[in-house]
Amino acid sequence: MRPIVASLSMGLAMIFFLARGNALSDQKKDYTACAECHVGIEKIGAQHDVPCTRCHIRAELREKAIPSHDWIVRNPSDPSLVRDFCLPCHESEIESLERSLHATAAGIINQTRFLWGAQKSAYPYEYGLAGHLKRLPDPGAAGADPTSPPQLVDDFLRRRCLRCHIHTKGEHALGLYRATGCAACHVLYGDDGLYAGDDRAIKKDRPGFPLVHKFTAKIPVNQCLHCHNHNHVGSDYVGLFEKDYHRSYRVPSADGKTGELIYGLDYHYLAKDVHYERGIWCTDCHGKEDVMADAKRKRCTSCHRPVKDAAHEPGTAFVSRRGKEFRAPFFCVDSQSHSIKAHERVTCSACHAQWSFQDYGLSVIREDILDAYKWRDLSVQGHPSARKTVEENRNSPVMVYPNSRDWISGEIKSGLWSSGWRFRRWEAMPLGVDPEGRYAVLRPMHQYMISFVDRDGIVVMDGLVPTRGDGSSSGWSSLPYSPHTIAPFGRNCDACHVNRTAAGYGIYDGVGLDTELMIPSLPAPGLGRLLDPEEQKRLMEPSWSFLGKRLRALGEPR
Amino acid sequence: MMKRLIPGLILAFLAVFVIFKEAGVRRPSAVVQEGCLSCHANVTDPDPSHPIQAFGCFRCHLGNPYSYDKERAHYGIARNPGDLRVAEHTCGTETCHPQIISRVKKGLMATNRGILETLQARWPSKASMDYGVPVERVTDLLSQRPPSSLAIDYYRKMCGGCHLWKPRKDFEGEPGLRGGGCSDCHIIETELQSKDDLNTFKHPEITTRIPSNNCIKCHNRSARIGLSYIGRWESEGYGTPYEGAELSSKRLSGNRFYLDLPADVHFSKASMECIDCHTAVGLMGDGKEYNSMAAQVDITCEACHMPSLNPLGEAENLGKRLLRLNRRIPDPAGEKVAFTAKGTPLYNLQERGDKLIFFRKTDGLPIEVPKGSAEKPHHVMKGHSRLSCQACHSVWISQCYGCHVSYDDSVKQTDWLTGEKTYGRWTEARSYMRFSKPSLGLRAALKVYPVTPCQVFFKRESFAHLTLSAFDPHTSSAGSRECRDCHGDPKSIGLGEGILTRIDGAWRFRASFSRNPEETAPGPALDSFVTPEGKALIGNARDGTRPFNGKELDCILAVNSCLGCHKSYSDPIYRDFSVSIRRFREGADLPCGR
Repeated sequence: MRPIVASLSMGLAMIFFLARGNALSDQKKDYTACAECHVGIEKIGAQHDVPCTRCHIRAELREKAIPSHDWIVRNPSDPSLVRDFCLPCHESEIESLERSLHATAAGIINQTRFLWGAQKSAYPYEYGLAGHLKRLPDPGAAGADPTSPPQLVDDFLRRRCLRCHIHTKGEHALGLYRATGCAACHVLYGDDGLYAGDDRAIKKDRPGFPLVHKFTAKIPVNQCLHCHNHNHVGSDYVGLFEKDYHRSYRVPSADGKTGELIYGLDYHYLAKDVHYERGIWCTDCHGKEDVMADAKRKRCTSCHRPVKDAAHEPGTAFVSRRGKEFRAPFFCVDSQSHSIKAHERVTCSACHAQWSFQDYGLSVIREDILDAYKWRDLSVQGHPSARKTVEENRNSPVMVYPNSRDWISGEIKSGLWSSGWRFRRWEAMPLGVDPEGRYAVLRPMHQYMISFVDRDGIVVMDGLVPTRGDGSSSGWSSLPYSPHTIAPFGRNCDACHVNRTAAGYGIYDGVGLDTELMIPSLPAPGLGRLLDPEEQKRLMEPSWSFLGKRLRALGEPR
Repeated sequence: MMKRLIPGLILAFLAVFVIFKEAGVRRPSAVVQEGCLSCHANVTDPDPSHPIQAFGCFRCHLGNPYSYDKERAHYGIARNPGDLRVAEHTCGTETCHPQIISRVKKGLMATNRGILETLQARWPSKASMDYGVPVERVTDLLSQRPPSSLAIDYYRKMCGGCHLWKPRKDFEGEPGLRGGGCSDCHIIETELQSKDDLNTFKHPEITTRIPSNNCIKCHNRSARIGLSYIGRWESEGYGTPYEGAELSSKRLSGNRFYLDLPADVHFSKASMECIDCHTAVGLMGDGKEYNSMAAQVDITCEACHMPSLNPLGEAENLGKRLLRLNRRIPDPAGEKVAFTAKGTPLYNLQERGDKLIFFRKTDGLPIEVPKGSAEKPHHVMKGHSRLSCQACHSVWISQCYGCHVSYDDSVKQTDWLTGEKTYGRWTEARSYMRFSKPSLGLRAALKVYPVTPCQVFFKRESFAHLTLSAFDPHTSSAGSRECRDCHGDPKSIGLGEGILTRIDGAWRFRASFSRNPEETAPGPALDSFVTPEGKALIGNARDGTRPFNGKELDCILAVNSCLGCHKSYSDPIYRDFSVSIRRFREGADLPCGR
């Protein structure tokens, strides 16, 4: 009896299997009926209530039968397709976006090229990834035998810095999953890159999909952090500061295992920006005109308006993108610190920022032949694929020829960039002057030492300090910026006044010390300046009037 | 005629003098006849005090000096006579250095008592462990077989590589240079070129002028004072800047790297070696067995800079003996010398007229020590009476926040005491490191001292042991930290990095360092040792070292308001600050704030 049952059920199962297979292959022939497979897929949004093909099939193919899934455009907002799909409806947005920093990455490109000596000036922008700017040169697969920093900078930008821009997807790792083009911001991704919607055709365990099939203008902080991570503005807003790269800084969890990296790194948890603590998103301050057109940037005072008597004023009412109601308190122009004449030229963040990114001494090296063993404890540098290369080869008895991706062209090129810092701190906040003439916090950006080892193991460049494109000075620079680490109250007078680190003298006297890196370098042209000797002196030698005000700021005599 | 005669006379005179002098010198009556020298014919003297011609080899190296057969001659040989296992029969025989060996064996460098006691006393799960009698000294472990307890296993694998009982050259690299009893410090290592050189080789040099490198080869971890003294700080390990295709050559043992920071003024200005300050009594012990470095160390800043001077009396044997041993130090000839708190004569710190002269032990170079600092206003200031010199004069201190210890019993690790690999591997991770702005606290609840965190998180037994360690950072400078470094900087007073400001008459503090959500139970930020209200968040050190309490914090911060104008220590408001601040607060007619 038993064998009969077994063979019967076996036969039935086979019939079932074949029938199902047939059904599947039948479906495959007609890709026009999207919804038959994509059962439960979310509507993309009320504004885009159109047939699937309108966005996912090229116009010239739309009326035809779809013989292959390859005809289907996954992301119609990708910069290579956006003109065909989105432009007819969103012309002005796309035109301005393509000229904006989000699309061109011109700031980072032109500054770095200038500081490495590849172009005469940093501004006006010459090179970019979009718009009317010249396209960033491609040094080619072999790297064209660079012998000096100017010949190496484009490769550095392409393979190291520009992993984050809206033209290509970048790394696939926790926190880094995202789309390109409009969808980079407007289609939300989870940190794990997993689909969390109802479409039965999408695998729920394969990363690389958006959270749901929806377009949105309500963009939460997390979405911005997919790019604005590492030690850059963005991470600081949520209180993240990169941990040191070395393996001995990877703190184990209870089971003795080290935790998962996010954005390719481990992070310290520092004080969060008070706005983030209250539930305010990046996009609440950085609106459409700001992030998509480099225009109409909000200031602190747009909400926190100056008044005589802040305590009795209600503050600016606004509804956040999340739908929460807020009242931004006005700030009192008559308070001890705000009423000081000289403080009119101080940015709010110079006093209200709690900490800043102070990453001293950046050494970068491109190795076309690699002894991965030497990086064994330093493989985690925020670049997951580079980490993989190092870890796969770290026990290799011979040197290897490593490869890495050009994030602009997508090409795999020979050579691997690695980097390291002298030391990194969040406490020190040296002051400089921003392009508007206001005193602001400076951060090193960067103090480069550049090395290059070619395929034959010849050290072509050995820790070179680049020279600026105009030959004026070294390519080290500091950048006046606004740390997004705002505290509800400001730092005290002594945080800047009679404070040698704040005044730009560094922390210790002495020649040849590594702490000399704490002395700021000249910002790139157009991005501000250092304090001049007169200003330094004023900060270091307090006047009687300062001393009186200091006392009153402390609430004395009580 | 005269012109020729004078040089001739001088020469003749000199010749007579030399012959006379030479006749007076006592040479060994007979050259030692030892079999050893038949093979080891050309060996240099280890030093003038141990001439091979006079001593031979046997006296130090034992073995059988009467045999010409290699195997017999070498039977029972002590390759390293300084090894504490044989030292009583070699260096420490009655006619040589009889008392020192027993002192050294009781000293901390030989017992590691401080480490062992702290580890075992503080290991939370000690109740559950099969302890028996707690291990007191390294020697107790040398005869024991592992494993005994997790605390001891930790010691064996993480600490036990630095003590005098450790044999020399049992490991490659720096660990192999550590240990060896007397030789650990007193030998200047020379590499043998090849095996053939055994007959004609340069004997390792024995010295009492111990180069600091001999100290730093061990004292470069934990408090890292050996490194700090010469201006090196163990970095975060980036190995930058790169050199060629390699990481930086500024390396320490164990694949670590260092940065250059300001060196201790005694090193940068006077190139003083460790032994210039550290006396034989402090280093080798005084015959008592101590359980902490602070108790054994003899030298203090005050011993030189606020010295108690006395003539070297007739009964002062040690001072005279030391003087006799180090001919580069001139005889004080009746002038006074300094003495340490324990009474050790600092024979090289002598009063000369109205000057105080320090003679460097290595070369006798005289250095004038500034006198009279005891009377200076900043040293006699009321309210600063509990301050140690280090509190103000130490520029930086090595700080390691969060030591996350893991234990994997499936992997083997070397036991430093046996040299064998046994199951159970310890690894340490840290949250972050710093050097600047040392925090201050109360060392042993007595003196204000720089403190550095010692914060052990051990997930396996889920304990966190958060404590403070107070020690001399060895980063002294002639100048001092500024008043407001302490009277207003939140990190210096132990609150941690952050914003400390006064709002509506009350101090408000917002910490910069938050906590990694994965790090143990909810707790304070790693650099917060105390809350602004004075609640200690960290402490319970073995010696009672603690952060400031609420009252102390209030007193420290009360000065902050006045510091803007009243910057001088001799300012009259500091004569009785409590009176001054009351007048100020009560609105007396003062110029302040006008």
